[in-house]
Amino acid sequence: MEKLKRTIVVTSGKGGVGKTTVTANIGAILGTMNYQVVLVDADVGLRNLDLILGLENRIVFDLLDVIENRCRSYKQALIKDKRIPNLFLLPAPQTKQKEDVPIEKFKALIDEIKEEFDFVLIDCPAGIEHGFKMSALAAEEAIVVTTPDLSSIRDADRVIANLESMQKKSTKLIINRVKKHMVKKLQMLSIEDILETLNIELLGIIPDDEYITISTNNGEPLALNKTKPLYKYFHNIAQRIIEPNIPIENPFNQSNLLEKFVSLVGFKKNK
Amino acid sequence: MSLPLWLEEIINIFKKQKKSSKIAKERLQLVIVHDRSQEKNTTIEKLKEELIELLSKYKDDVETEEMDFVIKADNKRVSLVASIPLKTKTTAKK
Repeated sequence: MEKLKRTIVVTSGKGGVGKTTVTANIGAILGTMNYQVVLVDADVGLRNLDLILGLENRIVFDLLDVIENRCRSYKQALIKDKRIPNLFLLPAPQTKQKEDVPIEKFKALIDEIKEEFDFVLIDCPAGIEHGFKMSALAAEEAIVVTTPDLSSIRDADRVIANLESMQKKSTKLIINRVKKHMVKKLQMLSIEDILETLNIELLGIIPDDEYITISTNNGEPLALNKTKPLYKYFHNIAQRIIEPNIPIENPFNQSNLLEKFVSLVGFKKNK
Repeated sequence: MSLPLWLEEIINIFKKQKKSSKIAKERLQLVIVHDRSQEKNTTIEKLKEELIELLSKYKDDVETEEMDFVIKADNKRVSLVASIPLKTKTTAKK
């Protein structure tokens, strides 16, 4: 079967907005949907994607080993997730490297990988320096992650401007860690406020949820636990990556009580 | 039906207290407008301006509004690609 060969960079500008968690979970869900997925950790020197996926003990080769030909092919460096068939990780080097990974070599590697996969998701480092440029130039599409915080939105605007100068096929926004009760009390920027300011297409909304901490602690992406409240939001985003016409799962559409009930009994709504 | 004046005044006091999301939005939009205007002073924007100036010395049919600079990467190099469209007869008539 012909592969989709889509390359997407997940970026944010500001650090700590949940970029890596979002990458891991979307990738894992795409994997469960039977797409062939590679997650590339481009955060050279500060790798974390392995930890969130629970694959940290299985790393032998990393991105730099592949680029500097210390292993036979990139395939030797890929770590296969045993729980999710079709999900692979290419880890970032952790030992601090003085020289940056050359952009053209990284781009060539991504182009080589995409030929045999449906999705290559690149987890971009924070900032708009070399690591960002490398990741953003290597991908055809971009996802920008922001939280409803001022500093995060401001940085997202800079990232969007940078992406514009690279003419991506598409650039879409994920708003992460939305605190519903605060938005309702008008003490946090609403989805509409953010979209009005940033002028970018919305891909999805993820509410703030303590469970994500537990999921990270356990090294188990949410895709493995469909009963958890955040699952449907990540699932919705993965679906919308495949089919953009699917409506956005909006956390503001449900009543609080119903949601409490749903999470209490671990009962799945919709899917 | 009208409320007593004193009651209205009290309500107004509460109304005047802006919710923090409104303050946030105002501050954010201000700072973003500023950021975006700063961006016009970046290398590429300066290059664009100087290039327009230079081009206009030799060619009078450059579609300056449509000029575009894109940073691209391929397997061999990262490049700055400039697209400089010329006015066609139809657009020149306008």
